[in-house]
Amino acid sequence: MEAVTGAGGHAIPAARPHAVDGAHAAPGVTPAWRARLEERGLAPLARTGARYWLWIGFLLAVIGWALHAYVTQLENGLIVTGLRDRISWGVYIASFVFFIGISHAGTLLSAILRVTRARWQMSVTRMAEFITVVALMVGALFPFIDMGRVDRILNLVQFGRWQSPLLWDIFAITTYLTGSTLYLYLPLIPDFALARDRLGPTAPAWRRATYRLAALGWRGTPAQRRLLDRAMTVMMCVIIPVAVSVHTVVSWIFSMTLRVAFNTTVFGPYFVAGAIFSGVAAIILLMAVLRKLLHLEEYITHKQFLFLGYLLGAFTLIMTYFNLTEYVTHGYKMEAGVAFHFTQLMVGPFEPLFLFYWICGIGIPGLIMLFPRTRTIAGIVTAAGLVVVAMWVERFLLVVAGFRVPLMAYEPSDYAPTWVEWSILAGAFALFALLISVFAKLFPVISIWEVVEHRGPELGEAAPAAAAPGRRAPLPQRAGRA
Amino acid sequence: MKGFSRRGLLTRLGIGAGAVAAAGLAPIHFDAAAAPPAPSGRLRRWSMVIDLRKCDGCQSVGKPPQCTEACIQGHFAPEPMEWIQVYEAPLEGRGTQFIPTPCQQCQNPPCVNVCPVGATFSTPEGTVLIDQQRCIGCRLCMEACPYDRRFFNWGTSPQPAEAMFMDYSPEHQSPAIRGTVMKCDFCPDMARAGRLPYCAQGCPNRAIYYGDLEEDLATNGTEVVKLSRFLAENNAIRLKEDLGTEPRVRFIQGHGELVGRRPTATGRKPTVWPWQKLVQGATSWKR
Amino acid sequence: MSNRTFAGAVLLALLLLVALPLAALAAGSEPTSLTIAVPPSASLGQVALARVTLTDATGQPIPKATILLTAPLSFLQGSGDVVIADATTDAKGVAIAEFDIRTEGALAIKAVFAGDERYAASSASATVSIAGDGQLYAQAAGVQLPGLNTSPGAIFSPAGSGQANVGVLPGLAALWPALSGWPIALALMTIWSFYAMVAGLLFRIGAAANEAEA
Repeated sequence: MEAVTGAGGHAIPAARPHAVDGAHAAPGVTPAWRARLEERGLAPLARTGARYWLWIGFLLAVIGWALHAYVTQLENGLIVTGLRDRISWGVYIASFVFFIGISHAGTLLSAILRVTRARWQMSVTRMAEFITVVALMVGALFPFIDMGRVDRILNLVQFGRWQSPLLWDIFAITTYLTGSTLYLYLPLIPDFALARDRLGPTAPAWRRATYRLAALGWRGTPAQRRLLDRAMTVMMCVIIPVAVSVHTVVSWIFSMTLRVAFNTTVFGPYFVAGAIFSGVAAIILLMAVLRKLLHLEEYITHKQFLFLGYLLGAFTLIMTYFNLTEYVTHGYKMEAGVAFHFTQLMVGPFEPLFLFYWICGIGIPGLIMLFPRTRTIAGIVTAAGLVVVAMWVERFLLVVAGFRVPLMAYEPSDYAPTWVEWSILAGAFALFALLISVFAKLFPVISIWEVVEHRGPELGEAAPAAAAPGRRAPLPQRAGRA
Repeated sequence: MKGFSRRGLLTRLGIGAGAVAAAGLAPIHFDAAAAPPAPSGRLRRWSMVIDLRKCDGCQSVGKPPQCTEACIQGHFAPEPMEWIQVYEAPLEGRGTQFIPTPCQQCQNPPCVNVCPVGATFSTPEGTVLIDQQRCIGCRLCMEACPYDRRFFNWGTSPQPAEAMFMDYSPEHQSPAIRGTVMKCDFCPDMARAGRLPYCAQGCPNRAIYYGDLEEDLATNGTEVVKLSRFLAENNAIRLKEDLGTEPRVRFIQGHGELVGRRPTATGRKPTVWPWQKLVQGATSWKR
Repeated sequence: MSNRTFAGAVLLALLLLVALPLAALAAGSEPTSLTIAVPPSASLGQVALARVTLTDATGQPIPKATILLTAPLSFLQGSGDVVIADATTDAKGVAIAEFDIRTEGALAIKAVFAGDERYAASSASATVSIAGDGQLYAQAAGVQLPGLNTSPGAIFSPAGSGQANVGVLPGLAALWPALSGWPIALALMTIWSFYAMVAGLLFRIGAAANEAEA
């Protein structure tokens, strides 16, 4: 293969013949197409612009502010938050559930869709796995941020009680994080080999050594392929029950208590559905951002958005189903406290947030996906953005409204998060973005070898201006331009 | 729940008193000297009965509820913690009743079940205690308690400086440690020393009985009763029985009628924490 | 009416006016006698029967009389005669009272009749020897499932030592949860064994590279 000149004049050396060889390419893969893909995929690893550093700087500033807020909390105690005895969990735990929920993106896409051999997802599977690992790492911070005595964290190890839902959370999230890291790493091996071969010669020594180490001596031999295939099959199958159990276990920190709003058996499946829902929305958003920034329009097309959008639309129905199940089964019987809870949610202090969740989180995204006219990339990304915000609101409502139902004869309290909580939440989002940005710098955001070997350019993409059946107006697509 | 007429009660009380007087029985008397020790080889099983027929929220004495005040003063309970809290609950029909509610000392305690480090635990005597030195402040127990009986030290609690001199024990939780959970501890150390808990001592109407399910006796400071008989004859109930928490605190239904309160006499004085000088840096908060 | 008759009537009225209240005051003055029969001994907490007979001065049984049973018991700082049971006499003046005592020792059970408008109070006592030392009130905190319960590290010493929570086997406390929570341990080990398998495959990928090189 010839050397290709990347943007900015850097020459990317030709690939060694046995790294990702042509015998395994999908039909339709031309050397030019492949070279373009490799160049695009490896570009962020090869060079870094000023814009990137500005972005990192901004994120670090937000994280710095969040650290300042956390130090304030450490110095003065949790009194600096809006939490009090009656509503003793709020933004932190809601955000914990939210981020762990988003982490289900990767599992759904990489594992479930891989198992079903859906080829369209292969260009976005790497991004989904990024989201999983990063969301788990950020989400797992929140229970510790929420703890009154973080200095006694080791008590969990020394005195841990396996009967406690919090310990189940720790077991499940640790297991899921390990599994997701493994599952992120496995498909990265051939891409690391590609980076080793293509970028290694011109990269500084530490990067060369890193790529070589991470590539595990990958040569693409049949023996290695068989091993990798087996490893990925094992992980693919194992990670699905792990992911389902993780969010079920997270839901059990609520439904193992006797509070009226939490004392229901539907929480496990409900949380898993909500997790997949918010996870799909997160993938769509990340896809849109990285596609734009890294010029990946050729590989992430309207098709990916459309199919993920369909999933999003399907999940609006699934979420409606679960929510209605809750309202109907509890509302029909009206056990003590249920009337208060529904009143506060639907016509009381939480009404604005409740309506926001239903209209902007379920209604509008569902409608966007219903009509072809609105099913454009812009429409789908808007829907995803609304869903992400609405799902955070839904977690907030779940936790805070659930706690607010009075247990004895007293007036219900109110909860207003303080600047400390909002700052730490902003810091968490900034940390999420920072880690994704760092990952995008270290690993190719597209699983290059999988796209080459299993997908290739699809019919109709070589001439992107041609309207695919079902679409009204042709979308302006960029041909592979550097 | 009002299965017992006032007349019937008075008749029984009258008989009891009359019998004592007429038949030359030894009247119940209280001796400040050391109480008899626990029956050998057997553990106490502490429990409480609160006679709501005698509780009027201390309206008759014109002060904040004295059970709460006594507990606060005895334990240096930080503001705004009311480890025994007098709720005013509406009655069927018109009016309210006062329900002094300590920790219910459940035998199937949701708080103990969910604690990740075992900082809250059940003793063999049945008391549910908190080890403040082990608590990590995750507040799962506060989510789990269905009776609103657990309190968190959100900041440096307002306590008097004297609290700092107390020896630490889960059986009397002072001083408060920021970032941990506290609650009523049922005063088992007081009971072992032969004294009633602070709340029982403080009640001017002697509405709180402290008892031992093992020896089947209870007292409120003026009379000693056979606990099982007292409960059955007065139709004692437990709070939120349906939840299956199996509390050890029982209530005899009423609205203070035995001390002359009418159900429509609502309102009680708000609790005060009488600390003059506080630990440095202490700030209070609203529950 | 003659003067004598009138005077007689007034005298009678005065007498009645004085005598009737006196008769009322003198109410409850009919002596009664109470007998009590109890088993000489009982075990701790065992329900025993006390047979009480209430008769009047002539030996006639008194029905529908309330009898109280008391025992000298002490709790915390209070001691005295505590009412432990009550019963009502039947037509034959016999009342059967069920009682159980949970304090060891020889106790003088007293049966007491408080008296009413007609009869005087009376009492009788008998000694019962209560023996035994088993724990009567069995309570297990929380839900007990066979093979699945709490660690020994959560046992608190109840002897009033005031010590903080001391684990019986502090070193073992970290291991114990895994042993008693075997379902969770089993599930985790299953998943992690798959991870180990994958790690092994990774190792072999690396090794296969060396073979290819060679």
